[in-house]
Amino acid sequence: MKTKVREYKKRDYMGLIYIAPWLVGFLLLQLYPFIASLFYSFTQYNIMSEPTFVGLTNYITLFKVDNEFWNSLKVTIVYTIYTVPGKLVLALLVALLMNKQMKGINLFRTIYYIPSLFGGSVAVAILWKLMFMDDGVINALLTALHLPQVQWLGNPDIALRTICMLEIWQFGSSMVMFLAALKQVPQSLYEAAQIDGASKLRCFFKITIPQITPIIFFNLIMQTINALQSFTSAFVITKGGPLKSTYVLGMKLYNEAFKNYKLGYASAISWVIFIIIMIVTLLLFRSSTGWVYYEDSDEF
Amino acid sequence: MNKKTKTKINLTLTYIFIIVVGIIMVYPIIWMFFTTFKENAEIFGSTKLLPSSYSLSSFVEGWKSNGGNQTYTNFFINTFVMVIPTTLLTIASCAVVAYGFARFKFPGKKGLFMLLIATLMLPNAVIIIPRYSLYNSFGWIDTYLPFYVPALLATYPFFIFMLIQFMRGLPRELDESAYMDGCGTFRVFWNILLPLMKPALFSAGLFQFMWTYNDYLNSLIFINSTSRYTISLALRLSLDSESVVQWNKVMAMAFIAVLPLIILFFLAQKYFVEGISTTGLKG
Amino acid sequence: MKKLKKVTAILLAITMVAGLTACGKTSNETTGKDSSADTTASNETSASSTAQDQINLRFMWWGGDERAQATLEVIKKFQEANPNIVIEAESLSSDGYQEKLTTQLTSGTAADIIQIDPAWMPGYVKSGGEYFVDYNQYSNIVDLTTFDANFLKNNGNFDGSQYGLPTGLAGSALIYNTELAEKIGLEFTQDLSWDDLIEMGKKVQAYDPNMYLLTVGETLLVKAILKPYLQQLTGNKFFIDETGEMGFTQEELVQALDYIKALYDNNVIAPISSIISYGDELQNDPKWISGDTYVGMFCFSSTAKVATAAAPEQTFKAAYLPKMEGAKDDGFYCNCPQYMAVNSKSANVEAAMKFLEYFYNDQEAAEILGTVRSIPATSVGQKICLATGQIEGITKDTVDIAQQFKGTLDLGLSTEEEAITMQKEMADQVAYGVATPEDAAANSITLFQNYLDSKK
Repeated sequence: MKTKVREYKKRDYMGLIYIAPWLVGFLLLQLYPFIASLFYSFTQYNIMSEPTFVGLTNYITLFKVDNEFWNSLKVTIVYTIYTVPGKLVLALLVALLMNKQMKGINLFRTIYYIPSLFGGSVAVAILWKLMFMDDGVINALLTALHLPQVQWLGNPDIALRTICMLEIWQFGSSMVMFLAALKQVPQSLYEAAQIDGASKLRCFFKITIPQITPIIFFNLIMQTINALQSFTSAFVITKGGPLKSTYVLGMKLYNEAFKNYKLGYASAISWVIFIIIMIVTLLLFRSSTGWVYYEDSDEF
Repeated sequence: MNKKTKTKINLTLTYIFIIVVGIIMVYPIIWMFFTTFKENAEIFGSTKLLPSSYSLSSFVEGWKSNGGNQTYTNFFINTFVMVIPTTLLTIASCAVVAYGFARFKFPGKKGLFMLLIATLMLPNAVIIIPRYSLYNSFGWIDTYLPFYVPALLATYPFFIFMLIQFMRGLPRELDESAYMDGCGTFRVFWNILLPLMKPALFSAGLFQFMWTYNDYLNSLIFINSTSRYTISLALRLSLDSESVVQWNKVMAMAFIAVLPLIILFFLAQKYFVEGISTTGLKG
Repeated sequence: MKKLKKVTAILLAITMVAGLTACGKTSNETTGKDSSADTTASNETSASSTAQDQINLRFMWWGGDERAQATLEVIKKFQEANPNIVIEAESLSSDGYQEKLTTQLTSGTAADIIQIDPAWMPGYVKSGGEYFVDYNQYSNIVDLTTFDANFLKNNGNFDGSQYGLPTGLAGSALIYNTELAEKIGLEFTQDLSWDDLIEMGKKVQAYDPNMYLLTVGETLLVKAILKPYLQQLTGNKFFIDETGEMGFTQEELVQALDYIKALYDNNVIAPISSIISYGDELQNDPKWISGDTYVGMFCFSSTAKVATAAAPEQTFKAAYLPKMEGAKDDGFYCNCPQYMAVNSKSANVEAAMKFLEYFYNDQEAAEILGTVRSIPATSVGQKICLATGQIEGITKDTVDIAQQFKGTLDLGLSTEEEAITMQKEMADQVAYGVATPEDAAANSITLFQNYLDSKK
């Protein structure tokens, strides 16, 4: 018995070898940059010269002087508030509709998934730009329907929504996840509920939703993290304009870092993004005990 | 109205809804395809989907890129030279690391696993600047190393996590019996677990391929010279100023750019769907 | 919940460690950088020495198809004459070009021969990076006497070092559709004033409310209206580089912004929301191409040809640039659209110079290049283009007009990317009507001051 334990232990040390690549990667490409960006955020640094320590100057400028930052922060939050729930609600709705014995479900699942393939690709961003131009096909369609034309890209009140639409258009991957989760809900639960005489609506709220909350939660967190860092669509479609109405934090970060070469200042922005993400994640986690239903499974 | 007709109406309404939304979903892509055959005048202010004539000239012309001596042949080669090794390295390294986490109880494992999960939420934004400066000091700017090395070093916690989840589903008895037969840990991984993990590896590979292929920000930052440009960068270049944009050419190249993903998706749909469904389930 | 606590604990721990270790890292950084520079340099030399005499050069520029094709043709001809030199062409888009270039210069990966915007040059020179080669040291290879000496002094010369060679002559331009102008009864006179534009704009609106006198992009709004207007008003550059101060008072800025507001309020200029998605490439606007909405356009003489070519069925003429009564400065000037610079880190400076000699001073090259970079800056180029008739047309007309304006050249603090962005934003706010000229001016002056302080 004793020898067996020792033997296992010896073998288990092998695990460290297997995770070594990750450990190196983590230290070099995740932990070091993470710490370094915090350090840079207290410096003035422009790659050509060494970073010089300036204390809290960057943060003070960011919060007290730089109106553009506040605007970007607002734009990013609005973007997140539009896209994340928009995407998830639509995904859930369609998944629920499709979660029936229907013919051709696979075909539709495929079709719905296609836009998600392109993610933040430039190709689709360019397509969006062309479609939503003043003389583009969308406005032509509106005219054909006798509706007034909209300045999708030129109106500062609307441009952000045009970009949000591109994001929401890609709800397919969340939908496929939800659909898979819905199929996993044990039928026995519904049968039991039916015996108790529960209504369909009640079943939905008391069984379906609780069963898939972990998935919703996972999606919510991941989508929020992504939305808070979005860059490509705003960069390609509107370049942050008009009037900075689509100037998301990701773009601000890029411009400060790689256009103005204020790497220290940009690092401060990146830390603000990080802290926002932490806070949002914390809040979501904290609230999750209230609404996310966890099965008991703890292997680690 | 009896129950049967009611469900029937319900089902019809559902179908109509799903079909209408489905059309909205794919219409842009279909429109993109037909736009490649249209002159600018035909594109603007028109709702017509089908072009007045079909000719491949926009593809031929667009392929040449911006008059430069780089063609899309180069850009495609560059893209695959960047994407394929990145994908393969990601799968290889993540599988090994996942094996380490899923099958061994080494000291500090819990803590390290928590770190792994924590990095899942580490935003790229916060590490990109020091990474840039790091790669710059290594002389890696304008090479594909900023893509290969993170893949080799398994800095994609998402895939590790996904593979761990998958591996947990494989019975441990397999390992045990192999150990009894005198196999070493690597043999167990290579001969026993890896073949069983094929579907999960394939899914992970597909996603990594897709994400790297679509990537724009990292290419924008790390790649400089046109001879190393990837398709994303080349497409952005095609919106060049100082000439009139020929949208059919731009759309032709944009369409060609998304085509590999569409083809891949139809060939490997099962893995896409499985990949998505399994990753989320226990998150 | 338990998991969560652990996650936060870890992150907190990381943050704390960060504070401790951050100090130790700077020294590594330097050594790493130096050694990498060495290795890249040695790589390059080894690469070039493997093929014995084979010299590889990289040449990067931005521009449209026409420019790309002509430039490639010149490269081809040069390579035929110099089989040991291979030039790798990098034809980029103007958008994002500067970011790319800055990255490349700082990381030591820039091309050997670089097309550069005059507006960026002062910033690069001032940063102390020693990025470019002084042409004076290679005047035995590149003949600089074919350039007008005074022009050369004003374009690309920094304290005696010629870091850039001007590619051509160019300036801001105002072009108009002759047919529409005639139909509406507009006359673009030699003594065109800013106020005339407003009166003419009103006339266009009265003729047809769907038509506008002008279409102006974001950049031109700043470069061809706001800044010349202010310069004429004050007699100063936008930012006075010598003192690091603003060249205007708040009242003067308000006056200039008031003028911009008037342009938009009276629909002299097409609403900014309708053209913004074309950026500065207004030739892509279908309404410009169809030639029935805008009478004229502010552009650069280097882009006038592209703008007119986009609407082939219309005929265009160059108009005089506006000037206010009692102007203290002409406001407009003729400089050059780009410089050619040679990377000081290049391993083959002499070969690069050899190419540039061909590029600037060879008759064959001049004939191929024509006016793709505006009217050539060398006497050789001008003579050839005149002989081949390439110098005719809108490019020449706009340059001719620009040359009559002798405003103070404003390149430096006010043309750096960051400054341009602030200027554009200010003009945009007025153009969109979201800020009054007073508010926009007050707000921007604070920003300008911060910017100028940061540059001291």
